Amino acid sequence: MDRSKVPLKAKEIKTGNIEPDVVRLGNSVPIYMIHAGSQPVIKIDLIFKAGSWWQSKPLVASTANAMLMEGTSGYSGEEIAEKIDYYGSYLNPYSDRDHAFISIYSLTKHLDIILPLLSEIIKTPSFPEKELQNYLERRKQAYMVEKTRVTSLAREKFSFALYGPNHPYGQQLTVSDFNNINREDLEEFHKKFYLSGNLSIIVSGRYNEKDLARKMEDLFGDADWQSGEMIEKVDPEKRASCNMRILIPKEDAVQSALRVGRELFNTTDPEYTGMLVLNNILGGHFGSRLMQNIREKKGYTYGIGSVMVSLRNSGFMAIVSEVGTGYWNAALKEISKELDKLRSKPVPRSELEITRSHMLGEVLRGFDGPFAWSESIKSLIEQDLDAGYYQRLSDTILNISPRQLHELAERYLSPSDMYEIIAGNTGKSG
Amino acid sequence: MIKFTRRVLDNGLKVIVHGDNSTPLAVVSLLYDVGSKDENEEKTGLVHLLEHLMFGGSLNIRSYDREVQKAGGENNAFTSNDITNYYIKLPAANLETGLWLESDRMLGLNFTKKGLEIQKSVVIEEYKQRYLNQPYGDTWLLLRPLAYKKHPYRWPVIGSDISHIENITLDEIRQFHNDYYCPSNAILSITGNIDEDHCLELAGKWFGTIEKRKSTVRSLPAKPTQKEARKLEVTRNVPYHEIIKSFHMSSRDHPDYFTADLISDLLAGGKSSRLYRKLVMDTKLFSNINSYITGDLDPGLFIIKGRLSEGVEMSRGQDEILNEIQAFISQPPGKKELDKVKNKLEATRQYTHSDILNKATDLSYYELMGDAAILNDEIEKYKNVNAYHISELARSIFDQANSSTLLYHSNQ
Repeated sequence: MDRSKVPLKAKEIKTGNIEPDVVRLGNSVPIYMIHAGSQPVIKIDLIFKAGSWWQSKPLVASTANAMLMEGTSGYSGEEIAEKIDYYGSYLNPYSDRDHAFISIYSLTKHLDIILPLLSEIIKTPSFPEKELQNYLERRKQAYMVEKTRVTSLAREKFSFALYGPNHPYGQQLTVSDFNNINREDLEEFHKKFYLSGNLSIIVSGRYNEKDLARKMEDLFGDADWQSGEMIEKVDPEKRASCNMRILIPKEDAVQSALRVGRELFNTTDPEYTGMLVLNNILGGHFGSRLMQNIREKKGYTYGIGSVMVSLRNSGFMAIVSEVGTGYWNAALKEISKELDKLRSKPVPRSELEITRSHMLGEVLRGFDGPFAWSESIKSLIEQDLDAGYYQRLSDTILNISPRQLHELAERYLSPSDMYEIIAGNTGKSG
Repeated sequence: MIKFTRRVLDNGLKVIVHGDNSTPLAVVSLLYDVGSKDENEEKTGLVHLLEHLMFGGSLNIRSYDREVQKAGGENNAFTSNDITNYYIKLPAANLETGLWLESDRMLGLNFTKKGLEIQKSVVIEEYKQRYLNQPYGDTWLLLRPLAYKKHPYRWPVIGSDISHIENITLDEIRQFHNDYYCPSNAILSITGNIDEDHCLELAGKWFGTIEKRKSTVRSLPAKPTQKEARKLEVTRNVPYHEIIKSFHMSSRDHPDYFTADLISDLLAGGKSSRLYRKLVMDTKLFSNINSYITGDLDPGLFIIKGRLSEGVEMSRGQDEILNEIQAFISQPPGKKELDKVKNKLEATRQYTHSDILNKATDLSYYELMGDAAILNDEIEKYKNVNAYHISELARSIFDQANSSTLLYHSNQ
């Protein structure tokens, strides 16, 4: 046996048919049905276009979402919690800039109890005053704790730098925002956005499709919670910062959080998939250039990575790390060097081949079992993409050339276009 | 029910395989029966540092990560007080690459002085990132030496002091690898879209030729019974006070473990739990509260941890937690309340086992406890717990003399 030879069989990593069946309810709500998994469990994701993009003042979208659990026309918050726990389910409401989600995990055998509860939570929340005040107080405390973390400070300032104070993607919270929200705000938001015309559903796991479709039709398929036309917010004012480097002092920090990046575009842009490959080479995995240089050669950090974030109305890339206090300047220099390197020299073939395999594996992992699969389908829904996206992505990964990557780097990775946010004890530098 | 096949190779390596064709992937998970509890108290952090060095290349493989990436895989590892576990998830067709990689670094590492120095620096940054640069981040650095006086659980996995990490030598690491990273001290699990028989063959091919080595016999000091309540108060630059109470409890393989696990869920395991309803939702004295057990192989800890609401005095918070514990002892759960936490445990296990990685690491872990099949029997053990067991155990665990309390004061 020769241990120096790689026993590598499959050179091409292929994703099979990943397109879920789509069933439409009477009111035309789409349900994406994924059948997979070894255990008798089911996950249901409800996705509303009801993220902070749509809110008229801070905190409304996320608070409306979280408060769904705290009481309905028929149940108190305590009763809801009791019921969900009793049947061993998990119900997680969460929201981001563009969407609000309600995800529920359940044993398939308890669907008859969990589904009607889910429907009630979505359709008739009561937003009780006492629970609301309690929630806001807890949320404010969590926010105050978050503000002591350098990563949170850098993340918030980064969005602010890219989009400015009047843009929904750039808004920063203040403590007073927690006092300026009332239950009428939530009711209004719920009435406008938690509607069937604004909803997509993903079901994944092991279940009987016909039976489930019938139950969903009964609970979610009726016409009287449809919306009129959704009015897209037109052109909120974007005001990017003029300062390309922003320091946020925190004297007692023993590491500095770094965030380096720029606005780009979202998945609908034809160059997006190519940028994903380039980003992967730069900082998308353990063997990436940033990780190899700044962690494995210099030892400045426990981890560094670069991410591409796609929003409905924008997109950005961000290099993210926490480095020892004395290293932040040196780390920024190395980041610039790595960006320049991608701009000055084409990526060597061998490095590109490794990136291709790694990224194809990543696409494949998106379909590893029912829950990963539903996350991958969720990304499509969030971006209004068709199921062919993963094929197009795989094609780019397989075929993009060093020359094309070089062109993308020249266009988008100029260090002078990058914002640099540093949060920490910035007086100290090596 | 998770069906699996188990085999022990001549060199002592235990191999467990489990086919699951609902995924295109496979997982190779390798558990070594070595954790930070096996360290010398003067040289803590060594086991975790060795985990880092395992990615620096092995006898026949220059770059571990590059080969994982070529195979379209993803890998990582974790070290606890009890074990070190490596894993790779990769397209099922490339399974053999995973076995090649893991067997080669069991065979031997390609240590370099430079690699060691860099990884020390990386680990020190990890230490800062996880423990020093987070609000409440040093909780476990403080709690361990308070709760444990003799047992090596008294230091954290990352090391009790940065100077320990700085002073570890290449020879010490090499010796440790030789002593503990041998076939008879390891459990290999392979799960996913695989043929079990073929898998066993491949495991034999790559691991069977590794020479049998004598594994080190473990001898740890027993934990002396704690006789009086312990308390530590610190002041930190955080916005709110926090109370962390720990109580000594049984080891993972003791029948009491299951009862204690249920107690932690009853007390503060979710939004319908007693402490959450009372102290967060009703009286609002706490902004959050939870309780859990550490689940260590040697006798572990039962933890209750709560963050006080703005303006609430530390002493008030402490009194309320004690009152609730007393109320719990005097009013044990009825059938419905007990069924609830049992249902939840059973369901959670099903969610967890929807992932081949969790199945692989669990199979290894239960095999380490004696038999991978325990994984399928445990639900019964939870089901057999009744209200009497609960109140008896609660009475003995929540004895104040058995408690170590960390009061984390805000200076703001």
